[in-house]
Amino acid sequence: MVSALHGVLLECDEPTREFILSLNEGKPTAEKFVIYDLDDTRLFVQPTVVNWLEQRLKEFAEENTYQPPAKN
Amino acid sequence: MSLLDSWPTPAARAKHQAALDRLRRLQLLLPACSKEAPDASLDLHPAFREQLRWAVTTSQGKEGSGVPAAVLEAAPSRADLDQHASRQWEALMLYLVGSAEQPPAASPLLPPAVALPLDELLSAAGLLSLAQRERSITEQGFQFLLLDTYGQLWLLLREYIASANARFGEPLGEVLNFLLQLGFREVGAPFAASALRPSERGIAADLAQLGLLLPFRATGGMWLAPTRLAQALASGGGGEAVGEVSEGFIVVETNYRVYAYTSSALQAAILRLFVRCECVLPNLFVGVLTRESVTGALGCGLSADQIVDFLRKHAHPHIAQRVPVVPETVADQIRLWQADTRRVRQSRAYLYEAFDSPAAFAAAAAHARAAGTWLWQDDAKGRLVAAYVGHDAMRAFIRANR
Repeated sequence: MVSALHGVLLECDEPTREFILSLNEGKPTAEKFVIYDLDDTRLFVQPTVVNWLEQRLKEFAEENTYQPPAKN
Repeated sequence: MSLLDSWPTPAARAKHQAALDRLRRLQLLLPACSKEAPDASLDLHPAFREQLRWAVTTSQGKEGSGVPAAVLEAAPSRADLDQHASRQWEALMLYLVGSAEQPPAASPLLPPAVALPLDELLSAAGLLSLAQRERSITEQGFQFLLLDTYGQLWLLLREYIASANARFGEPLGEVLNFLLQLGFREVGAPFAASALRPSERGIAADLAQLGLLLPFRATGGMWLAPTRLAQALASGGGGEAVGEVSEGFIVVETNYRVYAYTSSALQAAILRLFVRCECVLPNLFVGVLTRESVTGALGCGLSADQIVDFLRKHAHPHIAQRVPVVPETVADQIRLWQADTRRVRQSRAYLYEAFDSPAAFAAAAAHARAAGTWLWQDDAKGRLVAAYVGHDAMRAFIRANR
């Protein structure tokens, strides 16, 4: 019997995938959102978390860049 | 044919050939159908020939004829026209980016009977969004700013022509006719406003507001002089036909610093879209391309290529010979910043698993590939991911194959 699961396929580079997995680890069991860890660059996740995930990724990228202060 | 080839001097042969090619492509020059030598002679398009003969013999449509000398004397100079054209057009752009509260002023000499609904025009062109009574520039608006003047002009005029139809109750042909006639006039060759029909006066007032026409007063009433923007209407060429006012003015250094030798508020406003401003001197804008400023612009809908293109197109003559004009490190970094914002690609999908047999799995995968919805598969675990849109078809297929 074939089963079909609705979700979102994320394709990204490996560091990003690791970051997403670590976010998933930090969640209590009931809120885990990664359905399947497909391979090195692909994850299958719950469709509900996509916006939140995007926001977190943006914040993560901001944290990792040095912004020289503006000269005034 | 051989006669035609004997016309140009050897040095001008290429230009002659290009001109002939263009005439052929416009279907104005047709091969004459003679049976013995089909390639031997050329003929003018019959309708074009008639009109050409009519134009030559009646000598109508020649500007300058019938314009009194006093008017020609009072006519604005080339510099005045250019200044008017760029001032009005810049005011419009500044209004669009929101640096100016007021749209370009209508000419006091030729007040429009019905004010030109600029907001509606810009939003119809998709450049401005008027949601919640707030004017804000759209993604297309940002891209619009980076176009050359010629592209901008036509994009806006297309909407204008569509709306003029409703505003003046004129058939589309009349509006186009007026605009094209205007395009064929020489820059600065004045014509009398009194000779225009009322609806044409209305259009002329709008065009004066946009900087295509400059009205002035002289003996015999009101006269109108087309600016170089008006000439672009019919020139059909690229940006160079408009005679871009702004020569290149931007210098980009390998350390991401941008120097722009401009006193135009508009150019500074455009640069501020993706450059962090460090200081502004009367004729110089100094800024830095930073990750923050560039990703901000990317978020507004610009693309990395558009930014690099803009910097390259407006390069200062001193660095225009440099190859590449925009240092590679800078261009690459801008593209990398863009790639950074697209690190994750997401697609709504369905994951199918627990197929009854490897054969059923292979058949389903082949079906998804054929339908173009295939995204990923894992033969070992028997998992298949296909796009959300194809789910109904997939379900039907799997049911049928059970």
